[in-house]
Amino acid sequence: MEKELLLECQRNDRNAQRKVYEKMAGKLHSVCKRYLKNDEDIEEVLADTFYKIFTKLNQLQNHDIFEAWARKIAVNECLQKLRSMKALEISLEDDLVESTGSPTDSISFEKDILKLLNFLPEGCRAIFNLFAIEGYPHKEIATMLSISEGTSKSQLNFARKKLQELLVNHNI
Amino acid sequence: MENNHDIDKKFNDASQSAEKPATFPGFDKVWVKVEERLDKKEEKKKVIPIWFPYGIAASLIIGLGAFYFINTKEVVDISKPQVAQNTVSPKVNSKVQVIDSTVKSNIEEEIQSQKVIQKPEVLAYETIIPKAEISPIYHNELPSQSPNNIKENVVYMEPDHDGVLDKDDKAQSIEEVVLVGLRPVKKKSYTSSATSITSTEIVNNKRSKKSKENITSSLSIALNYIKGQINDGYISKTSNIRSEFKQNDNISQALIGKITGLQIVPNPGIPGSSQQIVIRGSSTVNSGNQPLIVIDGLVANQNVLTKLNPQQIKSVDVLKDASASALYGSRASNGVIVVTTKKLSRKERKAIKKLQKVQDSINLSKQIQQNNTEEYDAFVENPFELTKNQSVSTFSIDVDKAAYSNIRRMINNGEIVNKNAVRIEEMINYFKYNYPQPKNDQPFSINTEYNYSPWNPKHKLLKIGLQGKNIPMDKLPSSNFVFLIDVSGSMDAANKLPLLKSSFKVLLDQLRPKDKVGIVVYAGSAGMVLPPTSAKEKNKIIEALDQLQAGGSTAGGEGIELAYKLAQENFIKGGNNRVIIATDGDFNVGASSTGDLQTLIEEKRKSGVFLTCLGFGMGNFKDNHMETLANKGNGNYAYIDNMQEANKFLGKEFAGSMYAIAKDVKIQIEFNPKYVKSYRLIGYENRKLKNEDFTNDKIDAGELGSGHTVTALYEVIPTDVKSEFLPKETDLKYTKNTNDENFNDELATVKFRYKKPDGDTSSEIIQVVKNSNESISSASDDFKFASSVAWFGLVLRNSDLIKNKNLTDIEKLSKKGKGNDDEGYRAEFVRLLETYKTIQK
Repeated sequence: MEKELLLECQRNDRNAQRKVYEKMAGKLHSVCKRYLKNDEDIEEVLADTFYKIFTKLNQLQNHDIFEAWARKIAVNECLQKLRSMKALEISLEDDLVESTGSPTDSISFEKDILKLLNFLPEGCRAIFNLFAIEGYPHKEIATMLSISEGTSKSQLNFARKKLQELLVNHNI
Repeated sequence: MENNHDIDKKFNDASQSAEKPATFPGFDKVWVKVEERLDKKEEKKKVIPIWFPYGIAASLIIGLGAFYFINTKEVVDISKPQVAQNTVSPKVNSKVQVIDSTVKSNIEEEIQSQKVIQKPEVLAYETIIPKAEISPIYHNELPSQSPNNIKENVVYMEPDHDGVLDKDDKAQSIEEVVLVGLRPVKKKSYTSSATSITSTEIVNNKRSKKSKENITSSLSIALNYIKGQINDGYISKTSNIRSEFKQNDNISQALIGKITGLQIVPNPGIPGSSQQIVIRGSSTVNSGNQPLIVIDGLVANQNVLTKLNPQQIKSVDVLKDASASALYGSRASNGVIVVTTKKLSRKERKAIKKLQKVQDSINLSKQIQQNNTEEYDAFVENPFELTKNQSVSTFSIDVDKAAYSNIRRMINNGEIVNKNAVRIEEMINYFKYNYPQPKNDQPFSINTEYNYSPWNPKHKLLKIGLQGKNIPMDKLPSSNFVFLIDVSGSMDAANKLPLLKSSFKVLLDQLRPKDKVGIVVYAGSAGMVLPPTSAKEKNKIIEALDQLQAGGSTAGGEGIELAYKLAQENFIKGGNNRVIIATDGDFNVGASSTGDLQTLIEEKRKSGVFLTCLGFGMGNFKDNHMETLANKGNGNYAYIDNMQEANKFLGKEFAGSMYAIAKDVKIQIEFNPKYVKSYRLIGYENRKLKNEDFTNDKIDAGELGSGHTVTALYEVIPTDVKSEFLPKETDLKYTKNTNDENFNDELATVKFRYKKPDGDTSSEIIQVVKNSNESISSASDDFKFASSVAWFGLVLRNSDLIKNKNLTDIEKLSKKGKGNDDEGYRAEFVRLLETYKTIQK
């Protein structure tokens, strides 16, 4: 991301903000999509995320890491949303929630596989995302979600096991 | 592990590639949202400086004007709402001392407050409403329903600070101006009334010489204004906490252990709430026991409370008992938690409002679901029968009236009438008809009328009316009543237990010294509250009734067992032995299905004890249970929706409701195929009997009370009429089609069978109905009215067997049939029709 553009954003230049939005929206949307099922929730969180990005941009000292920073905001907003939905009360007894999306009707292999995430309960799905895709260590995940490290680990294993099963079941 | 790694990588790769597309369906929508919010933020920055000076000026002018206004007025006009904010008045103190010793700080504050009162600087203040039509909005004006109307435009004037004002955005719509006198006093919230009425406080030195009395009176004026009625003893127990909440505490967690009687249930098993706050001692452990929560004057949801940052909270007051409902009405029957926040930022206030909106919609949908827990047994309308194939029709009488009062309740509440709640015979029988008293020794007179059907001029109606003998009160046999009262948690509502108590008092007024009353209650288990007591000691019975409180599950079966046992132990031979069960019908422990109840009550019926079922409440009303009990248990059944109905059933019609003059009354009618091609019985669907049961004395049927009237209507298709409702004929080879010439003028023969109340064998009466061809104009008022009620019932049931469903036609007919309507029940029916018409629109 060009530093110029970000500086203009800081000055609240709507055109610059629009450009940044165009560049980032797709990426952050797919981040949110990994955590949330409902399109409305995703859009709401995405709007929150961009609002935060544009209003807090002056607090970001190193513009080189803008993208990682924006992504982190998105992840945090998603977690906050899940928290407000009380979806993060993780319990192992939770049965797998059947999602409405059918994994067979999509366009590409990559999309297919991500849709499988919809079959996981929110809490354990978030943990899998944070660990496997965002690359956070268990320790950090535990603090982010205010759970114990052990829970984080066992939830991750649970998620992997379920995803494995799902992969086999759907012949992917 | 390798496998695990694979999965992680797979998903990682997948998400990497998924991030490439730059757009998605809601792309523009989201941008619009972001832009809007960014724009708003800028606007705020700009706008504030513009209105601020104007706002100050406007408020100053209004404030000064108000001040002038007060000064010129010598006497306080009490018709104007006054908001009283003071510390504890002496009257209150005696009660407040009950405050639990655990809240030490609270007590200390109480003591301080006493001192404050003794000083001459008494607290009092005035509220002025510039616009007469807008009254200040208090907490109990249901802000949750119209949150947009609530404006917290309170202007605080503090002369000490040279009139520096602090207020909300819209200065032009000030609804309440509170004047601060010369000496501002720190706000304290000691009593229920104090916190709830206002969040401001004023000292008015001018009034300082007026005594404490003044405070007390202005306080009660304020309370009366809120409640709309004068009510003493509104303050009982208040706990106040203002502890420093720890940083990460959730507010409800912070309350744990701080206030006696406040329980935080960690996981109540109610979807959508992780914690539940319960104020002990006010209600039951089970359903609907959440206290009312008021945040800064707005009724809020508990989930909103838990989201509140504890550091923003200034004080929390917990009101219980009478104080709560005195101020907040019945919604506060489980107690009130009043939260006063420190100054919230605009953003936070907005967030709370938004959250509340979401919660309200959730609650609404929950409520709608709850409303659907009423249970009615489905039944199918009686079809038209061909006289040729089946000339005999048999049914048991039904003197119940519950369906009509239940439907009346639904219509008056604007609810949709459940089709299966409409039992037409109970609607018709709700009304009294002018039939002559029986002659000779017969327990009832028989009255028939045959005329054209109002909804289908081709068809005719045969009305059969029974009039039970009126037995004068002093000749009634002595009674042995057992009240069986449901005190389970489900009865804990204003239209249930309290109404029930008042209803029983109406009944008690009718009793004579020779009558006896025992009381059995049931909740989780059954128990005797009052052994059979003579009605001479009415006070003792009333006392026992008044002590009843609702709580727990509902072991209805056990209660019935115990009540019948008590009734049998005190059985009066030749007397009137009766169990009167009062409930919402929601049995959930022990015998609870309709089948179980039926078996139980059929067993009990043999004891010779009669049964009266009184239905109460709504939302969770189990009509099917009540109907089963009454039908199978030698009983009758009424639905008590209000005091008026209690007066009718237990007061005016007491003898009919409580003294059976004939039991197992059955009616069998044989139509003459010469005149009747086809017929159908309107209503009585669940009272139909097999033809062979008519002469079987073991088969149970309905009871007729002293002075009762029973009316049944048959819709008849005469032989010379072609009707689309006529069932298809099958040609019968062996049955003669020709009629016996001997019965040329007979339309039908009606047979009645009944037993004496303590008898085991039946007597039979036979009556012949002659065919007639009278015109509709000669029909009696009763005929017109009864048929209009039946018509309305058919429309409510959305019957397939009528075509004309025009409510205006029904209304016209019922007005014509109003006749002599001393007690106004027929007029009420006409009103009900009008109400239903508006609902339908």
